[in-house]
Amino acid sequence: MSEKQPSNSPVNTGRRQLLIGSGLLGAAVAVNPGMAFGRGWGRDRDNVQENVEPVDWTVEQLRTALDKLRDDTFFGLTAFAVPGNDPYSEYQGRSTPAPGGIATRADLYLAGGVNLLLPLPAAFMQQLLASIATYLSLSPMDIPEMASGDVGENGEWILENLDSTFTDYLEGEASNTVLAALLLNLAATRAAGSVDGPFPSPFANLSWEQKAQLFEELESPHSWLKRALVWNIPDRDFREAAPGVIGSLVSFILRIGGFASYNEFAVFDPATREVVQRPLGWVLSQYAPDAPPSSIGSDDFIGYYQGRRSV
Amino acid sequence: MRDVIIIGAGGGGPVVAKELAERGLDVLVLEAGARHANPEQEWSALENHMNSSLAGKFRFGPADPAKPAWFRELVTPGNFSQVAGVGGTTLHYYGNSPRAMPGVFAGYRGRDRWMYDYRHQFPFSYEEMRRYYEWTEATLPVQTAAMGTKEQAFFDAATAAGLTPITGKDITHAGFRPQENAILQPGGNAGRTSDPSQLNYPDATGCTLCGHCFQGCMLPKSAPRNLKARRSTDNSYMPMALTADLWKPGGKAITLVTDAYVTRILTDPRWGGRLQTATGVEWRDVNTGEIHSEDAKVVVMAGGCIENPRLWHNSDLPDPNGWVGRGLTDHALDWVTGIFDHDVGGATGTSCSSRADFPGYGAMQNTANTPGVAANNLAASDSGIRGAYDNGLGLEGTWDGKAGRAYGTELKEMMSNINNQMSILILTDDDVEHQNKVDVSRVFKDKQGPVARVDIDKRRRSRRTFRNREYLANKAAEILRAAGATKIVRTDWTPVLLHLQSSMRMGDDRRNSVLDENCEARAVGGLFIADNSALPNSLGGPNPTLSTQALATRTAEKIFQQYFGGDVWVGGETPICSIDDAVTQAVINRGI
Repeated sequence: MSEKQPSNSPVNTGRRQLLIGSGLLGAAVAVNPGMAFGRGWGRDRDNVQENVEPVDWTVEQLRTALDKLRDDTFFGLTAFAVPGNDPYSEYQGRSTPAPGGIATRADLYLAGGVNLLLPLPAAFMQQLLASIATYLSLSPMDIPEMASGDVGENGEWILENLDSTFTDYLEGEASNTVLAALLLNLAATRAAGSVDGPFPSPFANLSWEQKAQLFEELESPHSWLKRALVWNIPDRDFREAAPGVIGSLVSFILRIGGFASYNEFAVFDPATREVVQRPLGWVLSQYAPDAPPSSIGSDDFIGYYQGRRSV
Repeated sequence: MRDVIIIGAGGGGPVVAKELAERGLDVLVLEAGARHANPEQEWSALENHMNSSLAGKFRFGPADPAKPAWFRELVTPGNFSQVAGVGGTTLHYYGNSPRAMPGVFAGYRGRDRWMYDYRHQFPFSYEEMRRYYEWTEATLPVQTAAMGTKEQAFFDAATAAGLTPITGKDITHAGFRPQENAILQPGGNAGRTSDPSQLNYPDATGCTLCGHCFQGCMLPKSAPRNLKARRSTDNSYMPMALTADLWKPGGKAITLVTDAYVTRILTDPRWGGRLQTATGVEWRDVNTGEIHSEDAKVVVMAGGCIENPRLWHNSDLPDPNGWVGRGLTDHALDWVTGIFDHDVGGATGTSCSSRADFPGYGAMQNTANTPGVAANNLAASDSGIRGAYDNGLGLEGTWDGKAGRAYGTELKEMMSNINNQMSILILTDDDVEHQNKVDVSRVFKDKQGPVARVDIDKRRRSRRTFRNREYLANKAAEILRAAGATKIVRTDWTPVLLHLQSSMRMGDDRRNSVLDENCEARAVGGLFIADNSALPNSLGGPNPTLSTQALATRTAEKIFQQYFGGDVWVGGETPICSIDDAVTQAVINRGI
């Protein structure tokens, strides 16, 4: 196996923390094991592959990795809002015998909504992530073996390659959901250290109580994330707008999980403007009617209070 | 040159349009959103399809669902619940049409006069407003709501909690009552059956108690547009405006242009007298991107509390006292839900037909909800997640535990039978405050220019606003307890930007108002405002649409008098109702 040489300007501490703590490195490794498993990186550290040739990540590979990380994160979010009998609910320690939001595919709704919520300019997103990296360099997270230990020359090269590809990715059309997933996973790592578990997303590996603690931090006007943005975003207008943007995003994510879990979107047929079957959310909430189509009237008329037809 | 150009066809614009069309003026109405010409072929009763604020039929966005909604920037957490298109936010309103509290008008001498936002009163008396209320109530028309399962449960609970009925349209004391609704009440089979084959017009007339006000009213099926049950302006004022030549001798039908986003108010700066005079508008076709302009003798802004300040600033109009976009009120809405061990009609019957009013504090109303909306409303909070964290708030009161989101297993348990929920919406009599404002974003722009930026910080409201909200939340919980609720949750919402008022307020003090006592801009001649933003305050808590429509009627009179040499008509003529046979025939003849 050949050793790739790092450049003379290694990825700084904050940027390393961002790449690793957000789950980005782990997700990228999962789609291109040759990058890291040869050096014993990634989650499957016991399964070192000695003869794998490292290659550069492409933007498309990174996009695939980020999409998978996002999906996993949003499963974790949906189980947090409306738990069910799925693995994510069971792992977080709050589950129910009946299906929950994941079964209604609220994760898809949530992700679609986050993408439509804000037209974030690319420059804004880049400055936002850069400011977080700057903050993390000053106030690093407790993930020593990954972010600040001796990772060797190949490890440095891997981080540089990942950082470079991620920068290219951000200059294209990066989705809000990816940003949200990275922030949530970063917050999870910051709150709980290296988060191991069955899921690629650090957030999805938290307990329900830990997820609540994470959102307590994110909702706080004094959260580390808002501090990081207010202190470090260079553009004044972006800096002033950032806390509101993050606040709107967090508020939306928390609120919309309920709507997503109980509305009809997963079984809606646009051609007929009807549901093709009774939505699971209706079943869970015992909402009438028992079957499609939607009601156009009820026999609930009792009369007029005190017989008053007018006042 | 037009006589009048009206910007926006929501709750207020169509009122001015219809009133002036009836007088024979040449009126152009420009609406940024769509006109839903065939609801029975376009709409559904499904909450995501219709109500998603991002991709639903009823959103603040262009008609084309493939295009994103029009974004507005929020400085603090909250969410918008406004709709673009002909009908505006009345497309999803519940038709609730109470009058304002008399205490918010000039000259009020009641013993409780200091309980209101007395620094920001209407610049004229309640007695003067009453005749405009009566005209508007007759035109819509407004009717006393029928009673179903949840209304009966609410009235019984309110009685048990020690309240007495209010028996008139004027709010005279704290009490409960059926809603005065802009909804045609059930007739024929309506309300008596759920069999769809028996619910076609004319076998059924008026409200069929379907419970889908929020998804838009297209019932009874086959009814002419002006005979659909709920009197959103797409069903009432706009059909009248589009056919004024057919039902009123001397009337002139308006011209309606949709997908027309006004981007600039044109003015003619003159020294002496007023600094500027409005001469017309410039708009952008949201489909083609083409720019158009027209001149008019009078321009009326009716784009709402958020878009009006945006348009004002983007047009570089003067703001001499700094009150453009300031003083925004939102009723500091909140949500209290009771869980019962039996069916209380939580998702049955009309959307909202019962209320209680508390002069000096605000109001509350009982609502039925579809499941997504119910879960959404339980999951929106400024007080964190119940049992986990409270964001430094988590107030306690007559409800159970701390205020906050119901989340995780608690949300799921509460949602396990929606029929056993009774939910109460809190409408706070909130203060006009300078720091609550709408201006323009420095980061976000769309094709119409810099977008609006809204800053209404719930945590920095006045002491009176906080007091009123807490009083009402406690009262709501007391009513639910009296009804037998086994569990009561108060969520403590972040701002829900639905009942927005007073961002371009009228007033008698030129130091803190944008509009004079006739709703004409102090700084720009020939420019009027006729929507919720013109209201001088939050009305004491009652739902704003009726008051806006009554005020818009008054504004139409002022325009006709001042700029067209006409006479007033309210008080001297009999209003023609929007369901009058002549209007129905006109609507059918014109094919709208």
